[in-house]
Amino acid sequence: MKTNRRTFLQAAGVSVSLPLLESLGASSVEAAPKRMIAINQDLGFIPKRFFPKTAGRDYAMSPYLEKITEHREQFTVFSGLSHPGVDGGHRADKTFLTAAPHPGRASFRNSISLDQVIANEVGNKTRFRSLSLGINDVRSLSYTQAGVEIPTIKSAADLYKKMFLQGDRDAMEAQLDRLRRKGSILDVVLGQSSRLSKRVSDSDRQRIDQYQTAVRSLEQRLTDAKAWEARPKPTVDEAMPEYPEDRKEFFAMVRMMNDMCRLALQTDSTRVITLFLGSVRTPGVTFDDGRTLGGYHNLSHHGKDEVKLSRLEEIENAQMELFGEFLRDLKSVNEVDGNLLDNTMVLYGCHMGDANIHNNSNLPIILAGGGFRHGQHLAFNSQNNTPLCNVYVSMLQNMGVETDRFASSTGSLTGLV
Amino acid sequence: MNANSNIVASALTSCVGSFSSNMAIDTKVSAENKVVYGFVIIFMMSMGLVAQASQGSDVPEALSAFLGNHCIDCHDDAEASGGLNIQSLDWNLDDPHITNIWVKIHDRIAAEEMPPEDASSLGKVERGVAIEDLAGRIQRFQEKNYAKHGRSVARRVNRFEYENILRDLLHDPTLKVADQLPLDGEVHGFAKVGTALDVSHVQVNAYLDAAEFALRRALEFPVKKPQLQSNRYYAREETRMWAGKGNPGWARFSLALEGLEINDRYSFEKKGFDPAYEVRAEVITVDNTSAELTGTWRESTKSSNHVGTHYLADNNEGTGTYTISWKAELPKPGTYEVRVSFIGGKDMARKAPYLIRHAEGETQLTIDQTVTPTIENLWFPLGRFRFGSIGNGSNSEPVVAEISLSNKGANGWVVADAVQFVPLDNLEKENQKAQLSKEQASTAIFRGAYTPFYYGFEKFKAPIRGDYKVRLKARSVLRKTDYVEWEGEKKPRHYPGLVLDATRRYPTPVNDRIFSGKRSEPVKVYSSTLSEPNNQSMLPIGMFEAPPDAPEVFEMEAFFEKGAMVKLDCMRLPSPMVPAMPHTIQKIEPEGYPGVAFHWLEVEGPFIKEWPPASYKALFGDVPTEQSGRHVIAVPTHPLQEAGELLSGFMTRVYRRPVADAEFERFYLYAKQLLEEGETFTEAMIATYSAVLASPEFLFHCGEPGELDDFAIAERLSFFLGESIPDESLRALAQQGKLRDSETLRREVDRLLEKPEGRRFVKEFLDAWLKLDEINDTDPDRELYPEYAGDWWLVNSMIEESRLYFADLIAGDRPARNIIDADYTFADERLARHYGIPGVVGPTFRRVSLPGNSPYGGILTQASVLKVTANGTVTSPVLRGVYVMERLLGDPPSPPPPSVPAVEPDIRGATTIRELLKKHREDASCASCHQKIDPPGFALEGFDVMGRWRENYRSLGEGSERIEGVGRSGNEFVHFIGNAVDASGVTPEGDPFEDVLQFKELLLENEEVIARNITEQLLVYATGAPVGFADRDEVSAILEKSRASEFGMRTIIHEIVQSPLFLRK
Repeated sequence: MKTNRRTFLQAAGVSVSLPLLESLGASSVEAAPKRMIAINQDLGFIPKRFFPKTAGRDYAMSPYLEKITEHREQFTVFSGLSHPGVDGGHRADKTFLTAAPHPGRASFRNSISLDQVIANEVGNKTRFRSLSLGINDVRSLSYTQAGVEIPTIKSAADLYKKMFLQGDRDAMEAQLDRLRRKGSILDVVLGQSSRLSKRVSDSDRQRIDQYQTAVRSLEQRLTDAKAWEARPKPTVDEAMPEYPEDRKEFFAMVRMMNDMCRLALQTDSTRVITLFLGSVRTPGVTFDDGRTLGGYHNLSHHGKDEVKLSRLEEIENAQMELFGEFLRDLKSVNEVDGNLLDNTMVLYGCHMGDANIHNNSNLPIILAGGGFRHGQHLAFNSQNNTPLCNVYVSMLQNMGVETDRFASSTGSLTGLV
Repeated sequence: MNANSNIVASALTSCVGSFSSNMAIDTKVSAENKVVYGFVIIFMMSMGLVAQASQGSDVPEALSAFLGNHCIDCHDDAEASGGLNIQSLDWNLDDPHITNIWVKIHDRIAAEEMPPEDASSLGKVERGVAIEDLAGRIQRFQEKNYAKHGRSVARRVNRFEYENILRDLLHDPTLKVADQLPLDGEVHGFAKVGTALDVSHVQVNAYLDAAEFALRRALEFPVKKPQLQSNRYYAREETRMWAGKGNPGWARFSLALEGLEINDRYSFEKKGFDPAYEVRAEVITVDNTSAELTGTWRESTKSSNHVGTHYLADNNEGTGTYTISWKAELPKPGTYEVRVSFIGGKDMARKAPYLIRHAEGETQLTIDQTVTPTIENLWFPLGRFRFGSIGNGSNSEPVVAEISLSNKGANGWVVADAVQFVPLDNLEKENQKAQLSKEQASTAIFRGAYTPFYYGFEKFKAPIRGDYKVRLKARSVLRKTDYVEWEGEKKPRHYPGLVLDATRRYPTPVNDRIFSGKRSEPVKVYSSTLSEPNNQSMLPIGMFEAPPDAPEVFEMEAFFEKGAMVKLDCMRLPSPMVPAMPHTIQKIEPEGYPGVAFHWLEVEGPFIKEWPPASYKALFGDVPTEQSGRHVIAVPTHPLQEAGELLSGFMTRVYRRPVADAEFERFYLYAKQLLEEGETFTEAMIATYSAVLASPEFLFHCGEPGELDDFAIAERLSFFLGESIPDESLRALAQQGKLRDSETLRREVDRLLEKPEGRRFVKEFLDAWLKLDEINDTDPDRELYPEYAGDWWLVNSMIEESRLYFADLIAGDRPARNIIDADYTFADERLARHYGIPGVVGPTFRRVSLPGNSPYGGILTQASVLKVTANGTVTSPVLRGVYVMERLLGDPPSPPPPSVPAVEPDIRGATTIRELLKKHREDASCASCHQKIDPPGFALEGFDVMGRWRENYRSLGEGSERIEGVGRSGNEFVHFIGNAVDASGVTPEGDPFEDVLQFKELLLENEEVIARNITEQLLVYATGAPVGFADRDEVSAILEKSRASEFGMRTIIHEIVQSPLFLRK
């Protein structure tokens, strides 16, 4: 799989047929679009090996950051960030991008995730409004306006098919028929519910209204999908990845998914991606050299045992190396005004500050690329955390979304621009 | 409360009983206090102090003054003791979370837990006034809301209900669509509450896809009814018996047996059964050494695949100058199969000309010698020929037969080896032998299943979805081991990479030392639908115990998906995982490898009750079918008319109330429109049905506030106890308006609980209530808990125990206190071993009695509960304590204040969790909650992460004793026996306990708490609404009516269904 990826990279930018870049070639004044990808690695990192001990631009790299030191000027590492009111340990994964408080509570309701706010703004410009991806876990980072989870694509091969495999004319017609049929079914459904909402109580009506909104929203998406279906998909030299079936092939999966993410952004198939790296449900990992380590989740509950800690470190080193590889790959793609990383904000982190004790403060967060002023460790108060959403506001503004708030934000981050 | 005050209180309660019916009295408050409220409320009314509940955010004045005097000192912006900041708490009862905080404030004050005695001089009367005031406000606010909206809010069906509905509707019991639908929001862990069951375009799209998928499955069958078949699949004819991508070297764990005689020819490396074996004595073979030759044939032994000392090869010129003639003297005239041997290979003759002289004349055949001969890779049959004339003399006279071969035009190297004549009657005998020998032959499996390694028969694939009978012939065996000394460069054959330790001898399984098993071995049989073994497509069919003395045949009934295969799990056998070595595995079973020898699988079926299948009839009634590819289409005579009839029937079943004309019309017009546009009948109906299944009438439970009508009762009841839409009987009763009748309701509850669908309720309720669906979220650490690694049997048995136990609580109307303790439980062999109960053998669950000193018995100490409350490495009294408070005692603690760091577990052995917690509890802001959380957690410290009883912790760092060995999964481990467990504690009431047994006794002093909690949990589940402050009286009423049965679980369910909480929106 490693070979495939390298082979592709040599060819990248030369033989890849990119509708967007073609159109850019024609006008050549338009800047490359801004993109965003948010990655959550749901066991996070051993704090003392992740966070740098010093702050500012001259900060000294931590052991984990050493792994991505070649990108030092392209990322900012944060400390002292969290979502106010978000607790519940593992369960906070669903609020990593939404910041909805108290995910463990009985009355919990989720809210819209960062990526979906962006997708609402720029999603209509690409074949996929956004992509929600996951590895080894069914859970997703993306939530709709109503707080409903958007299911993930779970295989790099499936994603490849969706993005690049062009059916023949018959297949395309069949798909268009299917979309039209769905649309006509929704017409019937909608007419029905408008009648229903007349004979229910007020609070019930709200629920029915939410349903109607959902139906309308789907109709709009079907219309968009029809328009895209008629256009050819981009072609790439990269072969369809042979996505492993064994859940222990976690790193191979991450690498393939990263490749697909880069291709998705590069071909402008989408501008918004979330990727959930399900470490918790990864039974063990196989390293590049074929060695395996079992019980990833168990290792995170290391109980300060040295052997467990060293194994966990080994896995987390590999996680960081993969992340570095991803950044390198983004950098290697040239665009009209710099490289793909310059135009892509890469958020990487976890909803738990320390998985060993399931806490949800002092989150490990890295923001790379996207044209920010990077190369620094922005350290905030570890006792009284700054809302992570302040970073999100800066990201939204960077995407061109005109807003000065998101969820629990108290402003944007000044050190970034 | 002491006994004296109880008596006084009950005497006084009767005096003021008339008040309690319409007063907001928290039932958790002692009866003694009620008396005081009684006087106080009269006093308050006369003073005009009873205000309307406010919707504003300002706390009502009187309440505000009280809080200011007694609470704000600690619960202010600065200190927010215990995480509660009353100073900034809004009076906004619209927000359920804020209401919960106010209720909690009420409960703490009412229970005299707050304000703390040392910090306040709050008098009894003032306390009474305050809580009465607060209670009244919350109560009136909620009642007003109920009147306006109902307790529950419209809710859509959750994904499991959606799946069940389609299963019921389409008679498709193994349909899987829940996985295609997004996860549902939960309240109190239950996906039953409208406010959390949000819906977005994602669901709507998923509904359309899921419905279409399910509807199209109903068309996947051939027009012609499949015949009942019975086929036997011999284990020895399977090329391999495991699934999943894996190291083919795993075959070494399997071997073939003939009877109990091992024959290496039959190992998997030979790939399959050899029918020609043992029949050679009766055939006539002529080797090249007895043949007549022309040309200078070269003798060769280059390929070992030949008969006799050598074979012959020509010069590859194809000139025809090389010939060979084999002559055989056959014992009697008759028909023989003529076989020739050659070696095969790409350079060999493509056109080797053979000539057979037989009774009817001569036959010339051109044979391609590049192929591998078909029989034993050696013999290639030329055909069947008669030799000798029957009319010519005696039948026993010998006959001479001649076969010849030349190299003329051969196009490649011609090989001449031997010819064989097999008499036809002998061939028949040979087949019989083959049968006999196949019957006796078997293949043994020496390990349990482990993802992705399942063993099984792969030659059988169910031709069609339906009912089958499965028979398996098997016995148990034991494979002995020899210890082999490995020296120098010599290494075990299968482990070229193994680094040898010269000081050790390596046990190696020996395939010729197979014996009868010492015990029977349980085998679980699965149907596996997809080629992917680890994606939850395994459905258990049944279990049996393979006996040690002689093979027996076991029969099971199975429902197969199309393409399903039969997979096996030899449950008790170790499941060594890569890269486990044989010398480590050996330590698991030092007496030899137990295994199960399988002879064959026989499948009979499909057993068809009706054709077309019920799934089709549910959608298309009696409309005739026509084949279209792999499925059928419906071909009606009068499409429009039949569309109307079918749609009407469908909607009546799907909607839980009479279908209005306008509702029908809308969908009917859609079907009509599609038909008029030229769409086929089948497609038009699928689209229309999909629309119905995406319509809010189908998806939502809603209605007017107030009393539920009969249809709504049927709906609520059916979703409660059957997780699906009402069945025919319920629909009929609703139609007849009989469901408001108490006796009818009672009968229906009993009926629903006894239906097979009652199991759905038990499963779904327990998954949510006890979080049993999280049981596989963590795996036990292999170093600390090697005995559990990969032990599916144990985990499955844990879940089964809880389900059987809870189902039995209901079936037997057993008291709610059995949630905490009982002197019995349900166990199979594996669980009994886990619990230390002797004498339980085999995989069948049975009721077992527990001795008085057993810590088990009761849901509180079931292994499943103890596992979901631990991670795989450590137990935490905090997590277990919170779970017990929230799930079993109905008193959920507040989440920890964010500023306090959590306790970090330490398994190095120096400190115990109790010591760590002690430091934590010294923090005043933690103490008040941990006073309640920790005792149940401490009491459960006597159980490890899998719920097994322990006297000491295990540690990876320090300890009194070093334990090493090999775990169930073949991993070598080392751990230490650590500190002794201290499971003692003191309850918040000040009662000390030494261990979990005493703790259970303390809990059972107040059975009503246990009963109230399970009642409330069931109420949330049944009515789709949290139990509010205003519902407390009705909950008490349910408890009162259940008291005579000692809070019997079935009685509680009956009383819930009879309660206004259930019968009103």
